[in-house]
Amino acid sequence: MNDFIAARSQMALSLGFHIIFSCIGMAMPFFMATSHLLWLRTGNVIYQRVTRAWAKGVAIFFATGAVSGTVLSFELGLLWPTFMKHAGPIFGMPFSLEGAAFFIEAIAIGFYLYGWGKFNKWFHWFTGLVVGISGVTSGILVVSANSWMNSPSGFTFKNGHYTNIDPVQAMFNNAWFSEALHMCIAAFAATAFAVAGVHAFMILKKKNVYFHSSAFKIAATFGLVASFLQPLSGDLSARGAAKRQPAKLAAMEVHFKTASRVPLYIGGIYYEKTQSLKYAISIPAGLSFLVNRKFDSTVEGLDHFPTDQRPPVAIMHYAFQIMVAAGMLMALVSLLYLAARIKWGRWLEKDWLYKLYALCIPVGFIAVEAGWTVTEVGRQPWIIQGVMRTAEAVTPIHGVQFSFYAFTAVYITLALMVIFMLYQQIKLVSYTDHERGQLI
Amino acid sequence: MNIVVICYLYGSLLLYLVTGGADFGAGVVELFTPAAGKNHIREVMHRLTSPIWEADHMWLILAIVILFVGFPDVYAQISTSLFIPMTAMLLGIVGRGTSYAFRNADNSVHDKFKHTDNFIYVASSVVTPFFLGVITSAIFSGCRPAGSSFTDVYIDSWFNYFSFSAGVMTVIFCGYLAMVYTLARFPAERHVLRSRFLLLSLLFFAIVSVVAWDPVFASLLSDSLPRVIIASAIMLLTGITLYVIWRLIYSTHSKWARLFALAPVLFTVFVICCTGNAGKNTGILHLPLYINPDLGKTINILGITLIISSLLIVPALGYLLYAFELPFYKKPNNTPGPGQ
Repeated sequence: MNDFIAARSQMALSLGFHIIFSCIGMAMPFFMATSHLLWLRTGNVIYQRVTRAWAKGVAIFFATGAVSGTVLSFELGLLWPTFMKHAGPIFGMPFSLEGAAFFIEAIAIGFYLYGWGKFNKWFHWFTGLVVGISGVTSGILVVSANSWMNSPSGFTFKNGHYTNIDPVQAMFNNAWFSEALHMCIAAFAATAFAVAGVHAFMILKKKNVYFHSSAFKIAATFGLVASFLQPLSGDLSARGAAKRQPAKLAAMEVHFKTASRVPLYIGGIYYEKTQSLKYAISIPAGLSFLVNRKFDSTVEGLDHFPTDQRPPVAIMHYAFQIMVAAGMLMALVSLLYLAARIKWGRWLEKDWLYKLYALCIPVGFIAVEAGWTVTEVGRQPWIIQGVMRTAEAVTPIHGVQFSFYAFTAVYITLALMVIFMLYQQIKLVSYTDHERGQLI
Repeated sequence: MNIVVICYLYGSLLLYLVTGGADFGAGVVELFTPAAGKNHIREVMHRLTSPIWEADHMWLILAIVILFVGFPDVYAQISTSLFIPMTAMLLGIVGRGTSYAFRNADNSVHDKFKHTDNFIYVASSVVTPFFLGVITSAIFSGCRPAGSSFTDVYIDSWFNYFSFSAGVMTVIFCGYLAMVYTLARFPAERHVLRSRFLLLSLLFFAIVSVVAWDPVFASLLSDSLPRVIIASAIMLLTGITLYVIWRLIYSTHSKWARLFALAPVLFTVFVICCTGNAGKNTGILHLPLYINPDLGKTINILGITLIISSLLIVPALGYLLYAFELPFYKKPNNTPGPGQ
């Protein structure tokens, strides 16, 4: 493994790890606050139990997400010093705001976790809500920094110099809104499905069914709304990519030849040698319609770009297909749940619905990881689209692979420990009396 | 605005040392505690740090963000030359943050996992401040690379006696700080922890002296007289401060000791700056920080962002501290902490 690949792998690993925790950190406090609100409004003690159980989850995920986030803020410089040297002052504004939002989140979580019975109940609830609001704000800000890499603005690049720096314009670049929206909805959908799935699993095991049903209902409702909204925001993102990063879209769709009436391919196997896709379902003029809303419009293909400026097609195509498939699956399951809630109430008693949800535990996060791959790999070979190549940005130090191995070992251990810890917590919920125990 | 941003940078680093340092110190104290007393120490330290420990570590993130937005050249250079100690510190941060959360969330499980959590917690509480000290001292004293070989560029700037002694100093200092906060807040512990407090005070004094005298020995033959004076002054001041804190803790004004604990923080930083700069003044980092004039707009916006954020953060953090600490002063001997 050479140093460049090691650096990219370490970054991918760290981001891939962190993204899960930050998604949960964005969405879960809202589930918690909703359940807390239900408790305050109805007085039903089951909602208090759900709130407390979720608060424990929030604490574990926040702690892990906070450290993996800290690591990332250092890794940006450790692995990509040249990038940070030039980009730091341009796209740093969302990061400095994010630092503040994160700080507020940490303060709010202190109030919330340790404030049971200490404060006015509405103030306590409000601090829980603040955890969520600042989490989402952090997410939006970080994604806006990332979108700058895809759609750089707010500076003039001439002869290798970056001048006329305007951090505000850089922050509100063309891509920030669609990317941030897509990421936020994804965070809610993925977290909601994972949480709902875990509770569905416990319902199937007939453990503490009333408790788990109440929790399931809240999470599944969040999942329903998010998974219905996501295709709309995905459309916005894809059309944005077509405008700003045509190579990315072309690679996603294995679209080599610039043409009109371009079909949309679903699935299929990509053959690198012949640069072709086989066994795919083809929707005639589908891509042209999706991108320009006109069947006979032209879509730029990869032939527009020299070979050293194309992202890897196979990874892009598969990652994109996985993301879309996972998204569709979630929307479908949500549709069934909606049908059950509106009309066929008896489905809520059936095992198959819960089995579906239990199977869907990882689906949202698979979609998140795949989507993240599309965003990041699709920009390659650039670290700043059209301005700086990733290979120019990498650290000059040798032996990055050792640091990569170390972080791989640590992150795998952490992932296992978090899973184990949550398993223990979930098991515990079934047996202990939560009014008695203090949190953490 | 330049001044504002620089103040925020140093301010957040200092606050990280004071608050995050005490957090790491909790682990250091645990290390210095015999097996029989460990559970007690854990419980006491948990009461001390639980509501605010997440916020404590935010100062580091703030500092690093200010560094890469406002001083990208410095950030890029530090991250390149000090890649190795920074990676080690990061691993420490991961271990520390997660093991703490895990062992507290983990009220159900096997002893085996608890043991692992505790081990990682203590180990990372030592490793992280150690490398923090190494990095800080390397930033202040690190030579410009003498050549272009791997060791010249990536090792020599931090792999030396001075950096290591600064690392040890930071570890001991963190332990000392945690002890001061604990004893100031839980007077009932004063007698239980008396001998450990004394031990940490003496260790702290010893290591500060060693580091303070280092540049004197380094330049024995040249202009060593001013350095002898500085070193003696540092020793004297540290000794007096430690004595005053000791007396405060064992008096009725113990809470003032916490404010006074800021003095050794400043000494620690001062010693590192002084000795580092005195030893070799061609550091990686030129002080005062150089601000690239091209970044005028960035610095202005960064400064405004920081000021506005403070307006939100400071009252919230103040209320958090107030809300969770005030009860302890009202009834000092009856302290059922939030963590059972």
